[in-house]
Amino acid sequence: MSAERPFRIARASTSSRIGLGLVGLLFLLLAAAPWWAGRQDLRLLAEIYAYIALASLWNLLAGYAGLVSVGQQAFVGLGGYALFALALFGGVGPLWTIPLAGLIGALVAVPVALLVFRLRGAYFAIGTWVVAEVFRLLASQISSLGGGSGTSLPAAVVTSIAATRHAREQLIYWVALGLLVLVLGAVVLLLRSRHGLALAAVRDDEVAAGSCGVEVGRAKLLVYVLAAGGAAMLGALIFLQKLRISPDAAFSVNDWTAVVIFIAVIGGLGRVEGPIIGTLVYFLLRETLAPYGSLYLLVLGVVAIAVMLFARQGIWGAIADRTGWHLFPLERRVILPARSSSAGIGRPAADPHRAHSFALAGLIGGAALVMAGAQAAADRMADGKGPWAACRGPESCCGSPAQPDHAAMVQGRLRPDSDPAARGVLEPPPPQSPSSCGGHARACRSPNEPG
Amino acid sequence: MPPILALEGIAKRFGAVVVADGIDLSVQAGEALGVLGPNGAGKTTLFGIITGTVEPDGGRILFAGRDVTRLSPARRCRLGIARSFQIPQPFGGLTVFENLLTAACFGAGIAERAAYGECLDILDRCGLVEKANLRAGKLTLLDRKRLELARALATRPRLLLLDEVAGGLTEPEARQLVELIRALRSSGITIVWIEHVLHALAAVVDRVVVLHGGGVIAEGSVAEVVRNPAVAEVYMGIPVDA
Ligand SMILES: Nc1ncnc2c1ncn2[C@@H]1O[C@H](COP(=O)(O)OP(=O)(O)O)[C@@H](O)[C@H]1O
Ligand SMILES: [Mg+2]
Repeated sequence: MSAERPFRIARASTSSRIGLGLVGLLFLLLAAAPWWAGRQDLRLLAEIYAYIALASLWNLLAGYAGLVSVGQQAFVGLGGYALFALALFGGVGPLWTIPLAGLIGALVAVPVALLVFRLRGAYFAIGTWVVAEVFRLLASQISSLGGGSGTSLPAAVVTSIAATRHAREQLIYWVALGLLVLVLGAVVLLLRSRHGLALAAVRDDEVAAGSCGVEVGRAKLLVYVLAAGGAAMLGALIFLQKLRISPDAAFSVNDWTAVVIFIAVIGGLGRVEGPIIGTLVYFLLRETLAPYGSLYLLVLGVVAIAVMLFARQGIWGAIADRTGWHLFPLERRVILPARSSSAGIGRPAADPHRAHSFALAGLIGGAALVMAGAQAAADRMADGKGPWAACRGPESCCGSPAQPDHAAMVQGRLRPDSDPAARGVLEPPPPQSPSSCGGHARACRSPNEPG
Repeated sequence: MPPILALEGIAKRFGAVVVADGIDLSVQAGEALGVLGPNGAGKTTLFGIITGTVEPDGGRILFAGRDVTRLSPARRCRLGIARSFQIPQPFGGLTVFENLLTAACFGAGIAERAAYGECLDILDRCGLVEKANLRAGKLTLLDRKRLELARALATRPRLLLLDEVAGGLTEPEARQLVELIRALRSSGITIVWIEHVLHALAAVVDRVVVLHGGGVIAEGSVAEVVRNPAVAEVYMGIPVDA
């Protein structure tokens, strides 16, 4: 009997040791980025961190708990507004608003969950979206935060982060990196614990999980609340970097959900590594396609649908399937000295029970992106501007790293190379002209302007 | 002592299909009960109702005298009700060992480290220890069925519901399975076993009930019920090899 047989349970494997080593090295390198990277690179990196974190949280939701939410922008926006409200009315230091925003997001998620958890599948997806739209409408009613057109962080608040722009940008960069480490670390630790077993069981088969003692509803609620709190913290960070908020930017389904779904789906759902790979692919595509303006949304949508049709497991799924690699030591392997030579490491199997929700997620994400791309293209034609003229939303072009300061310029009403703190942020916006796009021949408009 | 399981007036229909029409049934602690009935009789659905994955339209389920009708499947599992699924439902992305560990941690409420030895023990008894590190989704159908039984055992059940675990086994494999189930029973676990392989069933159970048309149409030993004309009628065309 094996009870008398000596055995050992190994958590790490060769690939996870190499993986963790690489992740550690990468972290050190990235923590030192302010010394080797330019301002624009720091902005781009911080944006990448935020997306890896958002996608990891969404992966926890859809990939593990089977909750295909299309409404995570509700919590990103809530976090952003929590930053502005706490900093403006509560006198809270801007960086301290980030954990508070997380707390608020988690608290608000409880009643929201009671509402949307009554819905299943596609109805759940739509329900979460509706909730986010309600949040957006509510935010546009807050006149002290600029109503529908939004507001900027006052100079006094901005300088309270750090005196100079340089110091502030470094600090925000490190906070972004820290938040990524926090979110990824929490996800990895959660999945490594016995609760990770429960979540994987729920991912693979809800009915069997329940019959094995896993409280499926409670597990889902926990994941939903965690994901909401994380999204709200990231929202506070994102809008701290932008220095300006509006309901449309804060509760944007394209920026905070469609892109995130794209990332999680192409990277590989139900795997920790998926969102990291997916984010890298997304930014590679975005940077490559940046000169083509809104066209990139169309390409992303098509890529997402193609991945859904031909590589359900996503990129990391395909890699792990062939190699058995894991970057993170999540699994438990039994080492039996005497007879276990034939006990090989199996490969993850395609899961028919979840496949439909993954497909649903991918198709919703893909369709949303295609729609956004098509809409942007239509707007461009309606505006009668040149082929490069259309910009929509803070992320789709104005925030793109080719002109990284651009978002701040348009949204925070800044001019290039001028410190808002020194100049005062709340001055009227400069006239929009191609020259305001950081030298690129594009006319950009703020998302809250009437189009 | 109250029976370990008592069904009182259980009713369930799917649209026009009546699968349970006021079923009363009680199982004593330590008993081994066989369940027979043609395909579609509602045997698997009855297991779903007992474990809480299928909600009955009416009636009560008592476990050791306690009304569990409104409890979640997980609560019932922790009280001691475990089942195997007729069509295996492994946690495909987890290893075989982790499948059992999940059941031990959440179904039996054991700390993870404390469960390691017991899970390996069960894998050994079920002939799966060599496959402990395989992804459950990669198992053959036969091994998936073994995993169903092993995972149910890892929850430390007092009442074990087995749904057609002997189908497809070779003779020696079936004998091994019978030995295992007898050993489980003598360790004090109550068994309710849905099985078409009658000689395997007969080697373990004292009593069988035959379900048909939403009710129990016959009851007795395996030898008695197969001679029952009502049973012969519902199985008409289906050879009974006992
Ligand atoms: N979820 C369900 N929805 C609709 N019909 C179902 C469902 N589950 C089972 N049935 C029907 O109920 C009847 C009994 O099924 P089942 O309990 O699996 O029978 P058995 O296990 O005795 O073969 C079958 O006609 C089956 O088609
Ligand atoms: Mg059945």
